[in-house]
Amino acid sequence: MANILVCDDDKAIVEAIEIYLVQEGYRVFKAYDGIGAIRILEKEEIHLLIVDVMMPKMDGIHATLKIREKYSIPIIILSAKSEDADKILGLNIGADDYVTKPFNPLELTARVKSHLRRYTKLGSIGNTQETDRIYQAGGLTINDVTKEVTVDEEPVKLTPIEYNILLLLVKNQGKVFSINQIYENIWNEEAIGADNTVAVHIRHIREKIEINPKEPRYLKVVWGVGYKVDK
Amino acid sequence: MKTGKYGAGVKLTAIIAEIVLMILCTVCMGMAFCNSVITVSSRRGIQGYYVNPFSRKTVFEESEAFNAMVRDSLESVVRYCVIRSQLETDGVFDESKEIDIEQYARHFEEMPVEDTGITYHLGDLIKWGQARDGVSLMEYSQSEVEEMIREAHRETEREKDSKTEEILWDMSEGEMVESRAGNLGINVAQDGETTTVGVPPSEAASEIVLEMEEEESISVPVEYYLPADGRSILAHVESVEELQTMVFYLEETVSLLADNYVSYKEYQDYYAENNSNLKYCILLERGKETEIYANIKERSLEEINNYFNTVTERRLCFAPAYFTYESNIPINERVVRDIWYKFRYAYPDETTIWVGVDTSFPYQDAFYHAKESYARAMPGYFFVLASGISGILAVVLLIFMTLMSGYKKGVEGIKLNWFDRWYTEPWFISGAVFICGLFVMTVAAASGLYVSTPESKMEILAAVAVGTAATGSAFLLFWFGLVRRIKAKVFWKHFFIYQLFLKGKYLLMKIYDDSRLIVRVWVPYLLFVGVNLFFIGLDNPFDPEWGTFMALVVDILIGLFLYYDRKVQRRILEGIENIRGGDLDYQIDVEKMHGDSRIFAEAVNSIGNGIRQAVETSMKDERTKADLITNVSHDIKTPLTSIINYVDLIKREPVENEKIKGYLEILDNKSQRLKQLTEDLVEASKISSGNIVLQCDKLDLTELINQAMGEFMEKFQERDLQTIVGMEEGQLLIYADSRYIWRVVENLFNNVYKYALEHTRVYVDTKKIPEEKGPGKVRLSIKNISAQPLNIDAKDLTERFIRGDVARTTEGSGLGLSIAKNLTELQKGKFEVFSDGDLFKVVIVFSLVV
Repeated sequence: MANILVCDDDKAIVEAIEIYLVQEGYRVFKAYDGIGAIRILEKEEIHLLIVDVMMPKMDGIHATLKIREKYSIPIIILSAKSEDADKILGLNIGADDYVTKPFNPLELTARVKSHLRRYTKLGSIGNTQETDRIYQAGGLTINDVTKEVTVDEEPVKLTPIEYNILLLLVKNQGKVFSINQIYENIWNEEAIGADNTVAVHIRHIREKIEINPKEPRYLKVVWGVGYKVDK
Repeated sequence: MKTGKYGAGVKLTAIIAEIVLMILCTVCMGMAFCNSVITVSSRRGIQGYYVNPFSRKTVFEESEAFNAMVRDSLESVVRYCVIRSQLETDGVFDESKEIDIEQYARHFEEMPVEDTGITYHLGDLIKWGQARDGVSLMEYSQSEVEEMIREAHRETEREKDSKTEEILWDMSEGEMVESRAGNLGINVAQDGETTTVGVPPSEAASEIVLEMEEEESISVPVEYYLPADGRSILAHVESVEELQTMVFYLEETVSLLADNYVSYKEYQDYYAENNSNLKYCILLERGKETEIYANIKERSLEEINNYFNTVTERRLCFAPAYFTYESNIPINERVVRDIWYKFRYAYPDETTIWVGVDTSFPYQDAFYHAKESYARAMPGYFFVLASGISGILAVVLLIFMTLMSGYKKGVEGIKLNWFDRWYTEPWFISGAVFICGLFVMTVAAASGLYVSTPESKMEILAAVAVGTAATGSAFLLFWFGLVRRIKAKVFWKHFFIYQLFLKGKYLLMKIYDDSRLIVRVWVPYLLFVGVNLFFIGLDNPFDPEWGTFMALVVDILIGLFLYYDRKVQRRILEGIENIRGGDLDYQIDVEKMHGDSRIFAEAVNSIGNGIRQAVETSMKDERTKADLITNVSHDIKTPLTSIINYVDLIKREPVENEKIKGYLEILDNKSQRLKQLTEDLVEASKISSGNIVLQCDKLDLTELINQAMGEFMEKFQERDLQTIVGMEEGQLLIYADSRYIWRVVENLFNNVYKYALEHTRVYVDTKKIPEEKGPGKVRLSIKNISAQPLNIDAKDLTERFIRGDVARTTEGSGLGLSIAKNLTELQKGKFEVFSDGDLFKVVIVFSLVV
C-alpha cells in the first residue's frame, strides 16, 4: 500500500483529502508547512506528495525544489492560484501535476492513482512491452493486436470508431488533424459538409480516457484547427 | 567657463606698461629719425639730408648726406652759370648790356632764335622787374593803338626822310585792311544766321566792324624805360599784332630777369671764391672763343685740372662732348647729365664742368655746418633697436592682455563694463575716427622732425610722446572693447541696426499674435495687393524693370510665408492623426508657431494629454481592481474548497432523511456556483484590465463551430434544443487566439444552454461579408428564444453582473457575455447583442485573412 504525504496549512482540507485517500486504501501522512513535510519525508517512505503553495515557514514552491534534490516521487501541487503563470512555474520546478482549488475530490484521487501507477509500476517495467503493434503516449497505451486501450494500466472501453480515431491520433503523435481529415481517414469517403459527428466522437473519447475532459492530458483540442495527441 | 586670474591692479599696471612701451617705441623711432637727418640752412632755406640710421659711422665726406649736398650744389652751380652768362660781361655784372627781349623770352626753345626784336638795357629791365607791378599796361582800343603807332612812326619819320615814311605808311595800311577783312570773315562766320535772314551784307559788315572796335582792347606798356635806342616801343612795331607779341616778350623777359637777378645775387654770395668750400668751373667753347665761369682764378685747361686735382679732395668732372665723366663722389653720371640737360639751351655741347669740395673746409659754409652736425649725430641703430624691442614687447603685452581681457578675478565668464554695452556702431565709428585723428596728429608731429632744428627737436619729440600716449590709450580702449564684445559674442547683437531689426520682428509678431481675425486676414492681404500694384505701377508695362522685380520678391516672400503657415497646419494635422491613432504620447512642437496655429497646436496637445491621463488613470484603476479581485478570490477559494469537499463527504454518508438530502443538494449546487462565480470574476477582471497575453494564429471558424457543436451536442439535446446550422462553404480563416476564441464560443453556447427556452430552435449562422479591398469579413450569429422575458436593454446585457433575469434566480455568474465581448474585442472582433421580444441574438464579426 502506498504512502501519501498531504501538506496544507488548512487542516480541514488536509483531513478531507485524508478521508478520500484512506477510502481508496492509501496510508496518509499529514504536514502543515514545508519544513514539516520535508521532516516526514526524511523519516518515512513516501510514494506521493500533495502540497499546497501558500503555506507558512516554507511555501510549496521552495519545498518542492528542496524535495526534488533528493526524491523523484510524484508531486501534485494543490493551489488556489489558477493563473497560467502559476501553473507553469509549479510544473517547471519539478511538480508532476497542478490541481487548482476548489478541486473535485474524485479528480484528485484519480490523478493520485494515475501518478502512483506510473511511479510504482510503469517506471519499473519500462518500455519493454513496446513492439510493432503497441502505441504509447504518456500513460495511454493502445495494443493494436488485442485492440485494447489502457490509461495508466486501467483498461478503457471504446467503440470501433472511437478506437480508430484514437489510434490515428496516437499513431501520428504531435500532428493536428482537422475534423475533415479525421473523417476522410476513418470513413474513407470525402467529407462533404462534415457535421459534428467527429467532434461528438472526440468528446466521447475524452470522457472515457481523461480524468477531467475539460483539461485533457492526452487528446487535446486545438480550437478552430483540429485535434491532436501530444508526444 | 574660464575664470579670470588677474585682478584690477595687475590689469592697470599692464595697461600703463603698454602705453609706456608704445611711447618708448615712437620716441625712439623719432630719435632715430632725428639722427638720420642733417639739417642745413642753404640758399633755399632749411634743408634736411637723410642719413641711413643703420650705416656705420664714417667721415662726412663719405656719407650720403655729403653726396646729396654735392648733387644739389652741382645743380645750383649749373644754373648759376647760366644766369651769369646772361647778366655778366667778362665776369662782371654789366647793367648796360643790351638784351634782345624776343631772343631772351624764347631762349628755352630748342632751336636758336634768329629773329631780332627790340633791345633794352639790362639794368632797365631788372629795375622794371623789381618794380611792384612789373610791366604796367594801359588798355586802348584798336584804332587808338593804330593811331599811337602811326604817331610814333611819324615822330621817327620827322627825323628821317619822307619817302621812306610813305612806303611804310602804305604797307601798314594794306596789312591792316587785310587783317580787318580776316577778322570780319571770322565774325561773319560766327554770326552766320544774321546774313542768311536777308540783311544787306554792307550793313551787316559795318555793324560788326563797329562792334569789334568797341570790344577789342589792346594793352600798351607804360614806358618807364625805353628800348636801348631811346625810341618808344611803338616806334619799333609795324602793327598792333606785332606790338602785342613784343609786349608779351617784354613781360616775360622782365619777370625772368628779375627772378634770375635775385638768384644771381644769392649765388654770387653763396659761391663766392672766398666764401665757399665748393669750387666750380664751367668752360664753354663757342667755336674758337671760350667762356669760363668759375670761382677759381685759374683759366687754362691745364691749370684748372691741376687746381681741382690738388685743392679739392672730392671732385667731379663732366664733359659731354668728350664723353668724359670723372668723379670720386658716388654720383651717377646719368644724374649729372639730367641736370646738364635741363639747362642745355644755354650751353653748347662743348662744355666742361668741374665741381670739387675743399675737404679742409676753410670757409664756414653749408658744408662746414653739415660736417659739424654730422659729427654731432649719434649712431641711429641704437634707437632703431630700442624702438623695435619696445614695439615687440608692446605687441606681446597686447596679445597677453587681449587673452586676459574680459575675465575678472573670481568671476566666471566674460564681464562687460558700461562702455562695452554701448551700441556697436557709434562706438565703432567714434573710436575709429578718434584713433585716425590722433594717428594723423602723431604722424604730423613725427614728420616735423624732418625739418627740425636741434632746438625744436625736443619739443617735437615731446609732442610725439604725448600724441602716442593719447593715440595708444584711445586704441587700447577701442581694442579691448572690441575684444570683449567678440569674446562675449555680443559684437553683432550690440549693433543698433540688429537690435532695431529684432524689435521690429518682435513687434510684428506681437501684432500678428494679438490682432483679431479680420485684421489678421485682410490687412496682410490688402497690403500684399497694394504692394504688388504699387511696384508694378512704377513700371512701364512694356518695359518691366525693377518695380516688377520688387513685386516678384514680395510675392516670393509671401509665398514662403504661406508655405510655412501651411506646413505648421500640416504638423498640427499630423498630431491630431497620431492622437486619434492611439499615440497619446504624441506632442506637437509649438516652439516656432505663432498666432492661431500656436493656440490650435497647444489645444491639441492638451487634449492629447488629457486623454492620455484619463486612459492611464482608468487602466491603473482597472488593474488595481483586477488585483483586488484576484486576491479576494484566492482567499475565498480556500474555505470554498473545504465546503465543497465536506458537502461531498456528507453526500457519501448514508442519509436516511429525504429533507437533508434535498438540503445537501442545494448546498452542493450553491457551492459549485460560488466556485464558478469566483473563477469567472477573476477572468473577467483580468480581461477587462487587459492583463492577458494573446497568442494569435490563423484559425478556421467553421472548424471551431463544428467542434463547439460537438461539445454541446448532448447538452442541447438534454434541453431539447434543436440547432439549425447555416454555414458558409469551405474554410473561414480568422486571426485569433485559439483558447480565448473558444472561451467566447463556449460562453455563448453555454448561454444558449442556460437561458434558451426548452423545445425551441437555435440558429447558428456564418456569413461572409465581401469588401472591396482585402478578403472581407465574416459574421457569426447565434439566435435563440429566451426562456425569460428580456426586460432590460440588450446593450446592458454585456455589462458585468447583468443577466437576463433581474431576480437572478437562475444559475450563472452574469459575466459570460461580458467576458465574451471583451475577449472578442481584444482579438479585434466586433461583438453585438440584439434582442427583439424574446428573440436573443449575438453577432460577432471578424476580419478574414488569407
